[in-house]
Amino acid sequence: MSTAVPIPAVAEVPPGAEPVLETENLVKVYGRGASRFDALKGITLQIQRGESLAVVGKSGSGKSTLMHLLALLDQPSAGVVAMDGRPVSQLKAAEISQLRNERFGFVFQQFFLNPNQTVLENTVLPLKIAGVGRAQRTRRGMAVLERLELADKAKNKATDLSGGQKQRVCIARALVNNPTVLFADEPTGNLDSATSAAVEDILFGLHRDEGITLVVVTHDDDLAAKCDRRVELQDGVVIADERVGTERDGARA
Amino acid sequence: MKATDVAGTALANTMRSKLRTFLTVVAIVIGAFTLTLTTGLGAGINKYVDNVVEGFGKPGELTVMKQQDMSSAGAASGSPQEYTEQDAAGGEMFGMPLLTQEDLAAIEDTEHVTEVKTYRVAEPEYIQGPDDRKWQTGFMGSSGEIDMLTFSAGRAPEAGAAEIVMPESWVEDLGAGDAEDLVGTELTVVAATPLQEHKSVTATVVGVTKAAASGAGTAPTPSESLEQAIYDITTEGLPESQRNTYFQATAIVEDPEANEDAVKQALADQGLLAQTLEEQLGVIRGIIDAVTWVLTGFALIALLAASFGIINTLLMAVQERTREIGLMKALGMTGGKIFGLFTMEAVVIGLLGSLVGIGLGVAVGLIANQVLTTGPLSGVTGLVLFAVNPLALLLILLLIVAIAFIAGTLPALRAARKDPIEALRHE
Repeated sequence: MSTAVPIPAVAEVPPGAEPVLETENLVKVYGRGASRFDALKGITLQIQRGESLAVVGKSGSGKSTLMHLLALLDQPSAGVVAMDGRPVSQLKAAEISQLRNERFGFVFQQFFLNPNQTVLENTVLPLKIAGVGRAQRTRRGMAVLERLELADKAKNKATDLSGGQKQRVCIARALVNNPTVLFADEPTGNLDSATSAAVEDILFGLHRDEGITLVVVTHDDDLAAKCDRRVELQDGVVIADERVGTERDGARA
Repeated sequence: MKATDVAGTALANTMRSKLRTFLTVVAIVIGAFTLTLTTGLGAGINKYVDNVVEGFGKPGELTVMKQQDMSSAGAASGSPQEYTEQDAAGGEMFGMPLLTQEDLAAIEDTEHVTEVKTYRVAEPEYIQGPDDRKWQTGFMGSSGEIDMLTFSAGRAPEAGAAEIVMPESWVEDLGAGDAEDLVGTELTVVAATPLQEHKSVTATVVGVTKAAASGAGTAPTPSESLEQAIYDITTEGLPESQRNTYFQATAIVEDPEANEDAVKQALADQGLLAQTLEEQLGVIRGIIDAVTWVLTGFALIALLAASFGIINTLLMAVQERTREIGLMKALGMTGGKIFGLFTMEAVVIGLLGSLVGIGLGVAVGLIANQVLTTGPLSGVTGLVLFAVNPLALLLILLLIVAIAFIAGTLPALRAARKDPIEALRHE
């Protein structure tokens, strides 16, 4: 590896696309003094509307930190995150919460389903947080469960489901508020290969059919390969940013 | 999240760990129960006092007694007091100095006093019925109470006639079938002179009285002239100044609002203590309130202990639900709403505990009141041990909910401050 950090070529922007999320010189530092850890060392990135982006890298590469900053779950130490061209990092906590609630969907490796509640109740949690009335919650919740072929399980307790079904409930929960961007953190990490494939089909189907912007954090190369674009991180810097299928190589470290 | 959803979610959350919630609620129930009983007891006894004085308390009536200066009252414990003729002049009863004719004249001469009623207590030895059996008669009612009596038979005694009315409890012992039967019977009232010589007066029973909570009608009550006759016997041979004495007097004041204080002051200058009914009751009320407050203090200590139970329960809940809190924050729930969710859970626990505790307290209080006043304490006419005061119950409810809310703020703050990323990583 050379001592100078190579600056990767940024993947070509498709014509007519506008960035939904962008970052400029994003830095995240944990701890201080001897225990100081630079998780991100200046990431500049644009995510276009309707794009599917895979963030890949080894453990500790900073990919999860990047996702947390993009998803406004965390504050950067330096740099800016902008949404629709508007910087959001400096917004008030309540405004950021509202942005997350209205614009983002989250799918986690661990499902984080509430075992005491039914599938429907778990699914409509974002709507409940948004303050949507019960009747509308049920209607929209059932609609999204229908789409994910889980309508017959709506009244079941979340614990009664298989792993794949649980992840489908999580996807339903992520979709129920019609998000602009869907963040998926190792969405298939806890699933066997057959179930993984099914979940991937659902995610990319949503991306393809509904134009939802997909940001997937994974170390699974097969999953990353299904995305339009692949951003690879190592030690807090982007070492590759390539558009899959465009045959155009990004600079390699 | 809507307020109704916050409340619904909080209620559902309290039911997730039923045993833990139950135990926390029990602690609050104990506090609420005790508070309900003590305030009910205070209200009950105060109501009893009200019953006792019902009918007494006409506005503008001042009860006048001889002022008891602390030097003579405290003589037993302290240095010897110098003897004066005047102190001994009136004599005393129950340790209280009696009012003399001189005092009465002073009361009558006081400006704004329109009328003076006198009370004395005749103390005969016994009353003999038609069958010649003798019945101890410690106390008699005062003739001044006659207008407060209610009758189950007959009528009130007339001032100038040697008449007497007897309480219902005497009817059977005097050999009468019922109250009506006793009316018209001749009784012999026997009193002792200061030299223990027994002398008798004959009196006709003209009525039978019902016992009132005030105590009126619970003892034989003589007419004014009969009372005087008995009094003449018990004070026979005593100096004149000690014969025409009274236990207390009631002074009627015109336009009490304007003149009451002036009359009191004028009487105080004469060495007489004048009190309104409220003032007399103030002392009793003060004692009852003090006792109630001590008991209430214990209940509040119980509630304080219970509030730590709430804190503990909710801290555990926050710890257990760390990931859930993280998820809710990630999905856009603000810290304020998370705070609301957990304090609401505390409020639900407080509500449950106070509703059950207050319900139990009212039930036990009412049952105990019924059992005690009809059983062991049935001799005390009109006794009320426990009374329901809805406003007080509402205040107890609000107090406990407020305590629960305050207890809930600590765990709720901890939940509200959780970092969503940290919380989601929590195992």
